[in-house]
Amino acid sequence: MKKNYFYFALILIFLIFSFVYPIFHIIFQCFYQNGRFTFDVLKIAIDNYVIRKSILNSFLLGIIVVLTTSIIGIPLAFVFDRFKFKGKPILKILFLLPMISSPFVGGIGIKQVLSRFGGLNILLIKLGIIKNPISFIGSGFLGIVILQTLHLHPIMFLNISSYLNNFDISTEEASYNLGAKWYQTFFKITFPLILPGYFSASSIIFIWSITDLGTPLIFEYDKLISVRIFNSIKDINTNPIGYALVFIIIFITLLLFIFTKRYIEKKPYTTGKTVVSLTEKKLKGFKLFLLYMVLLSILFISLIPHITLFLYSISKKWFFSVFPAEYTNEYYRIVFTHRLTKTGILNSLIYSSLSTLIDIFLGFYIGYILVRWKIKGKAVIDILSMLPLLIPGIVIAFGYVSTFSNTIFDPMKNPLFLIILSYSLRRLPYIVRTTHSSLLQMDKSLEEASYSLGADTSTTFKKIVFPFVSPGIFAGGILAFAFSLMEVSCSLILAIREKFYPISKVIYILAGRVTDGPNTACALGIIGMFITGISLFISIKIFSKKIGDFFRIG
Amino acid sequence: MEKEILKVENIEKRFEGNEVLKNINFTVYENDFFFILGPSGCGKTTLLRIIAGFISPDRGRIILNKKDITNLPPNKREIGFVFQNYALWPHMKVKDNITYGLKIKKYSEDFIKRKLEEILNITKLKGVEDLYPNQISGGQQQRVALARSLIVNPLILLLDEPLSNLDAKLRDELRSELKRIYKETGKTMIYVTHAQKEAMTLAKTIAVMKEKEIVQIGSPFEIYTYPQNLFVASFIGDINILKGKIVEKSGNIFKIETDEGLFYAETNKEINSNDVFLCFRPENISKEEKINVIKGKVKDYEFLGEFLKLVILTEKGNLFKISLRPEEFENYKKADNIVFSIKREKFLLFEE
Repeated sequence: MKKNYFYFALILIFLIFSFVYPIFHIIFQCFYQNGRFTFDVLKIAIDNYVIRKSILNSFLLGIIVVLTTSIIGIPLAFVFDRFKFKGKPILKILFLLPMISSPFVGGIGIKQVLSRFGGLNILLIKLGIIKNPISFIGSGFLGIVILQTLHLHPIMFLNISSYLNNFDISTEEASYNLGAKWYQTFFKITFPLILPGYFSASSIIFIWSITDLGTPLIFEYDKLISVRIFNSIKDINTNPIGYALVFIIIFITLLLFIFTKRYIEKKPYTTGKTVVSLTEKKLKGFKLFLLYMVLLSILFISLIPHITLFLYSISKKWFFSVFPAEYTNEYYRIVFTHRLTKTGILNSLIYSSLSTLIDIFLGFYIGYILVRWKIKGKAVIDILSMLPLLIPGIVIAFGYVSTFSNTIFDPMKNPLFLIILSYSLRRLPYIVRTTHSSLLQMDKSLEEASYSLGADTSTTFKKIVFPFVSPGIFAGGILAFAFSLMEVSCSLILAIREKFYPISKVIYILAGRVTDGPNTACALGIIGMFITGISLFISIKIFSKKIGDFFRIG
Repeated sequence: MEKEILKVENIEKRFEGNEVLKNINFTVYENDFFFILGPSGCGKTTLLRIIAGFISPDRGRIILNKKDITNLPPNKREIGFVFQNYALWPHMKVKDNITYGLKIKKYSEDFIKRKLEEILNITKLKGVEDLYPNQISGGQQQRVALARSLIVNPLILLLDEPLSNLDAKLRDELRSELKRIYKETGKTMIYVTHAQKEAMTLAKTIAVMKEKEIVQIGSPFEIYTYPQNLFVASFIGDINILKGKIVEKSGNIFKIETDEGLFYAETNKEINSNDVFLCFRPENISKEEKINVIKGKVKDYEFLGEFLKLVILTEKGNLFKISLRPEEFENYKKADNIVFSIKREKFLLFEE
């Protein structure tokens, strides 16, 4: 088959322009000052007490969230893998629900519950457990930990689950057979064997946690690297500290990425023998009851942000009570009539549709090239198209502002182009992944048969290749669209003027308004969550078990 | 009498309502090489996993060394298990795989080192102990799996189709290796397989399984020479089968009518039905008898040096496999006429 180098060039141009160039620009700015290479910027940043504290806080936050999500996600994955119980498929999908909202949107709801005179305090006082309200959120740090944990544990769950799916159970049995106890077997055999999956999940969660911008902003906690970067954008031309911070994040991200890749590829983790899958244990009676109780409690707690968000969005009055005193649907009406929310929804729809179209086009060709072409530099495309899963939005947004300010793409004037570019870059891996795995299952001879019968390239693509991968593209496309719709970091940073605000920025702005703003923000958040939830559900239906692939590196 | 080491009593097991094991009873004596032989899907692997404790039976007991271990978890049983796919741990070096069990039992480093040395010699694995499982050959992986189980000195060793993942040449090689290791260690072993050749060449005792039940237990000689039913007879070795009707019986001599004519068979077995299968092994024929004669033409032949194997087609359209000993060799060609007979005591008689 003739290779179409036009698309190949197009892909390269897109990746360089949207990704490589901005990243290099940041690194360059960080080390090249006043006509010479220097470490001064890094040094100034680290010498600054507040900055140093923020970096340490972010690391602490990331590590804590990795630990808390491990504590929830790992046992959960094992329970779902090892036991058989009614309603398992539905529960498994329900456990992905926490992901359908950005943590910062849930933050608006949970603040209502955890604040000094919020639902939980009132409940505890009414029950006579406490006398004076407790400040659960404190400085805001704890609130961030809670929200990120509740939001991110499905990523741990999905990653460990997909590893356990291909786990050879006889390796565990061999250990028991030699006299090992369950904890010895877990720590010496099982855990080391799922370590690559655990490490990749932990990397994603760590980076997601330290670069999450929305949640700290909602909790007004600014001693974090992400908020520092956000604040530094305003004086990006005079104060270079932002560059140093973004560089640190890029450095950590690449380090984790390379380590994960190396680790998974270097170590011999499979025997290449037939995998023996286990027979799931059937639970009965009290044990089954206990299992349901534990699972449903975790699910309930994980969904508290969503539930309170919903209550908040329909509450007319909610002061000094556990539940709202009066309900109304007024805020949903406002969402569809108010100028700001209407613009937001329209903008988001435009941004997301266009970026998803770009993704489908590029993602399909990247997937195709990765599977079918034998070409030098393929590995580069592979890495470049997968890295955006890991490179945080805040880095990309910062890179765009610093690279494209005072050019025709300046976000101050019209961010349309940059927002679409950032969305499509960030969600590109979804389509690449799905196309890639569909094509791997498609035998090359199916295409060759078409050529041998006289079809040309475009006919073969239209009639043979595309129908084969279209379910995968559809699943990936829906997910890309939904997650673009609720994208936070780039939306907050790049949309500077009100008429370009996407949904996330509108929610953020509304949440900050005192009177009825937060209620409307919640209503908008619920609508967004609803769309994301349905999209995720459709994707799972199409892609079933492989859904974990979307939240994995390597 | 030899020492009883494992007793399996009335084991029954169902999976989701389907019966997979029914009324399993047998005893294994010390130093036995005990084979569970049966076609795939007969439940033999399930039985082995029940003995190891990976599956618990619905009914019945497992007695090891006079102790009831039915409800004991697998890690407290002192029963070794060699997995069909070896189940080597890919993240550990060969030596760490092998010494795992000793480390779990917290033996001293010196002891572990000595034991490792010993087992590496027995299993001929010297030189690969610092490699990872995916860096060694299939045959070596198999021996690592064996070494890993042997080193902890279990009371008995269970082997689940240990040679099935190897190619034909390696399988032959490892079969004799296994025999040598069995002799050197004197370990009691229970071996599950569907390959009758493995069972015939290695076993001291064979238990033949058919669809969830054990149908016969005995030495390879007994099983081959005195199969208790048609299934055992045809599962182990070649057999020719003729359908017939008993027309006369005097003492232990039966006169049987078949479509190849009348035959006389002698057996001490009690036969309660008139419809029978009259069977004989290819090698149990003679060319001297005057009765029990079968005439046919050579349809196919295969010369194996010590045997000449012939396929005979009779006028009635029946096919018989026979094998001739050197003293009976003739230079047969296709379509040559041939006459052979069966001594009446060489017939196997089964009720239909």
